[in-house]
Amino acid sequence: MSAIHEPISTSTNDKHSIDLLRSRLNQVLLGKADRMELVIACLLAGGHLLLDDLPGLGKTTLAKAIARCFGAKFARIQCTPDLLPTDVTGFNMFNQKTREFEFHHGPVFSDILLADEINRTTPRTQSALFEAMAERQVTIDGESRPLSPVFFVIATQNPIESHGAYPLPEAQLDRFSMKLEIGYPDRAAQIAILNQVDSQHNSTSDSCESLSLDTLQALQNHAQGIRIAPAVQEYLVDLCEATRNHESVSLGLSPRGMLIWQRVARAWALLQNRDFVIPDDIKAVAIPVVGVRLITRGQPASSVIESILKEVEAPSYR
Amino acid sequence: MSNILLHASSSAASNEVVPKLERLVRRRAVDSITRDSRELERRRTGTISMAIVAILLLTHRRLSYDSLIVIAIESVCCLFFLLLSAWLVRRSVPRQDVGAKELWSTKSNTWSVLFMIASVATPWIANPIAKQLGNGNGFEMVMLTCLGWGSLAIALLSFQMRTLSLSVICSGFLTLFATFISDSPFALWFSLLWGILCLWWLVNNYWSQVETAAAVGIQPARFQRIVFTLFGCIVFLVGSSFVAGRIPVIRKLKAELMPTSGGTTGKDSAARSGVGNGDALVAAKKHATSFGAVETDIFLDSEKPSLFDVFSDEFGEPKKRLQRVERAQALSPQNRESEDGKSTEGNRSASGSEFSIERELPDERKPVDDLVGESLMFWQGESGTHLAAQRFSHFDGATWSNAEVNSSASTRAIECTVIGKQSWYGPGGTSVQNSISPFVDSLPEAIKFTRYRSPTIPSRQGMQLWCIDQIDQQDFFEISFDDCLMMPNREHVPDYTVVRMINSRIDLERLEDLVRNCSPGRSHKQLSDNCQLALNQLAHDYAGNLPRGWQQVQSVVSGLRSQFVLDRTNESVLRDSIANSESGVLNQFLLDRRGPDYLFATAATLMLDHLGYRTRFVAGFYANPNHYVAREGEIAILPSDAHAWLEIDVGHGYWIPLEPSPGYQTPPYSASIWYRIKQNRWAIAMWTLAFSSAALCLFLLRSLLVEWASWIAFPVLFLLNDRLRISWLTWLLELRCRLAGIPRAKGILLREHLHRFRTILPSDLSYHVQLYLESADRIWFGGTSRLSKNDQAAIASVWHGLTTKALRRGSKRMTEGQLA
Repeated sequence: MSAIHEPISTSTNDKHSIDLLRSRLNQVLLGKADRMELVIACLLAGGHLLLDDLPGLGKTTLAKAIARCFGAKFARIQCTPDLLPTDVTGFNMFNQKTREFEFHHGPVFSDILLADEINRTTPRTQSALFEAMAERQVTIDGESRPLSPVFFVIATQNPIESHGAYPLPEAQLDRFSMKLEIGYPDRAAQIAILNQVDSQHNSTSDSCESLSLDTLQALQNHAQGIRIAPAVQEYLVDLCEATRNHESVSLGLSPRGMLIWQRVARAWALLQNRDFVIPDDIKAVAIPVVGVRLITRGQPASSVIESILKEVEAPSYR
Repeated sequence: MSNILLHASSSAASNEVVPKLERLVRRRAVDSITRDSRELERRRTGTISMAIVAILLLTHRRLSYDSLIVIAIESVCCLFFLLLSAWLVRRSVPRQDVGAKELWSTKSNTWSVLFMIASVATPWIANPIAKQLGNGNGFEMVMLTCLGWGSLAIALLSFQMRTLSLSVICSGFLTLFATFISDSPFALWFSLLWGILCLWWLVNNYWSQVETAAAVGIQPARFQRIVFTLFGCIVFLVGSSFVAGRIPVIRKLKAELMPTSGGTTGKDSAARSGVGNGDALVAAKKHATSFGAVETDIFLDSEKPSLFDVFSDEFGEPKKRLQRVERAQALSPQNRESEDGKSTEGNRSASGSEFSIERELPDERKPVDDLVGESLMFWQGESGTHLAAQRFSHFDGATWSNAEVNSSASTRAIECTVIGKQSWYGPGGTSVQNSISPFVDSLPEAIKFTRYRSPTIPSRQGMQLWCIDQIDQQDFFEISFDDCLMMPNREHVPDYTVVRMINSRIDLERLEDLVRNCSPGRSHKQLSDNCQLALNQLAHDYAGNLPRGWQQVQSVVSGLRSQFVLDRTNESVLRDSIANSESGVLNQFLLDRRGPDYLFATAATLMLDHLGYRTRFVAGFYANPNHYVAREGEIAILPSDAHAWLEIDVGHGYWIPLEPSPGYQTPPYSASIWYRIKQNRWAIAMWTLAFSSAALCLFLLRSLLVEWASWIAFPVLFLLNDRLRISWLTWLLELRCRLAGIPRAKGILLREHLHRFRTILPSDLSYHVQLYLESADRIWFGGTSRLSKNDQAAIASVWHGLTTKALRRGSKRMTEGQLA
């Protein structure tokens, strides 16, 4: 995707913040600039991210880096079969001294939550987490408790070990904005990682300068104000309908998925320093956004999406 | 839906989740739009059937007079376009459970709409071509054909219940109308079939509404529907047959369709020109006592001039030849009697069978402005018809006459045939086999006399039968020695007499075989040497080396038509002939190459006679298309329509009219399409070659032409607003990409498509392409309405720079780079 020469109307502060965030994350996860763009788009769209990849590729590092960048409260859940919903959401405990129930906050009461190997915990616990993801609140003992307004979940799942795992149902996958595979870094990036590890022993900087949760929230609000033309919306609807009518697709895109696609496309346009969405933005985020919620018959979701993108007529300047 | 999904997800193991979930989602996805679509498809079948029946009925009607090949080609084209259109619509969205709006909202359906329009427009395009080939239809029939195909198009392509009903209404109207205008009893079977289909369709589709209004306990079933439909049909048929005998109107209707306009079993179809608008009715209303050739007709004893006045008025008086010149004194103008109403000496000749080509200058005539008031008669038939009133075979150098004819063989026998209750008459003694007759088809035509003052009934060559309503006496008619039909023993045909005729067209194919038999050529001693020489020379020039026969005859006639000028006033010829009386009118005509129609006819007759063809001079009337009276559907024959032409003997007693005067239609010849194609094969081949060569040149030079056109159109760009400017440039770039062999795939954005060439293009052009794409994004998607000067300059640069050649070169370089 080529950036345009003249910025259109995004503010200088936004551009500065985004550049700062981009450079910080690229320093953490080397050689994955394209993936980082998508992660930032997901973050600015106010969605949640599912990382579907092998262990040791920097998933946790990425989550921690995002939290550090904004000085956000970070929490991590290591999902296991014996993990209970209350271990995620928190619980009320009776205090013998005060003779009252006291609420013990769970890890969801954080800004950035890493749910590691989410497919290893039971569906019951998964459901408890998904209420928090979808509604940004949890209900415990009949009382709803709001979560952080910038609550961002990065869930990981290991694709190679399926024994004893609880695959995420499609309805729950729909809660994630996008699914990414980080993949192995290239050779140059691997050497850079080795050198960076040595230098990090001497590094003390834990957070980015001038970035805060307020900045993140402002960026998110700005992303949702990005203009999207009716022609682009029609193109988006055409693509969604094509996913529903494609012969290799069992379950096409839901209206919720379509809304998420539009949100991520807006965030992507903001990342391109543009205040309006063009059809290229829709296509750029298609595979990670649609891939998480498309159920195909045999074929990989990415190839189906690519064929749909080729088949559906793209809007032109006519 | 989310509850169902959650329930499904929490209940099953991973392998079972997907199918269950899919079923659940599918079940929920059958929403109202899908249900409507299925209902629509169900109704569509019946609607298509009804439209097809209506089209078949109309085709059945057209087959009675139109060419089967034309109808077949037209139908195949219409059907092809319709099916193509339907296929495109279905192909664009493969699943059938998609709503109508979704189907038609896609841009890819533009082609299907165009094909649908093409199918409905095909009859309009086919009709002029068919007319060129000697067939074709009237405006109303083309409209009806369009209506039929339109109803089928609606039935095939409609995605709304309401428009499907419109198709039923259209096909119903067409069925009703086509049944009324059909002569064939089979038409009723078509309409009956349509009625049954319609009844079935209504019962089938609106049963639920009937059911809602009916008792709660009814269980609709297919068997019940069939029984009720049959019951309804039986009740209708029995009831109508019971009632029909008691109502006078239905009794008439049972006998024939549209009885007040002539009916289907009536005299001829010409009577069915409208309810209460028949000739008999009109004549009877105006002159109740004068209808028909009755002896008490008060107009029979009129003293008005005879037929020759027509020619005298138009061409001037015949030039009088003084046998002896004596001393005389001129009268003053005050003492001269008015000439109005007086007949000339020529008119008083015993036989009346003379036609002098030497005439005085005619008086100036005021232009006719009242067709009906000035008309001699009205012709109900083809325009451009030649109606013969007199035929002459002898020419003495100045006057045509029939002096050679033996008086004993002056008339021909007439045969009577009774058809229905009407006596029809035809020329007797026509024992020649029909297979060699040059006349084919049957044309019902009629002639209505108003101010005509001659006993001769003008008729066209090829007349088979004639009649006058209620006249059953054979001696009312006579065919004179010159083959003209006349009413003997009366001064003129009574006013308001309507003579109905069954005429034939001339079959060109048979004519060519017949006209080969010809006699040796003759010389015309009665003409002056100069005239004779000029006439013979011209005849041989026109005939050239062509083989004897129709081709040679046509060459002489077309030579006169193309190289001589018709001058109805004939003043120049007459002045010259008066000034130089020795040369003669005909010689002067040959020198001037200008003159009135009778000189054309005379020259052609003499030339063909010289070449060895038996010919005769004909005087009569021409059914001028300009004198068409739209209100009555007739052609008024005025005195100015008096005309002269010739006939050629093709053997076996057949004479065929020829038209040598330019400006007059040649007599209508009939020929099959294959014959016409065979005749024009070289012209067709030439045109095909020319068109294909032109198309090939255009194809090969298409890139160049597009570039030229873009250069020419560039200044217009500055007159457009920014949005249109970008739109035009985008269209041009996509066209250039197609011409360069690198068309943009429909799913690929223009930015992606052009981005591939950025590295190959010159840097400044690449920059301008980038600027153009950004400005296009801003205008089309960013809500900006104005372009900066840089952007406008970039658009101009891309318009001129990113040509087909540049794109082709870039594509080639990319291919080479990939191979390397």
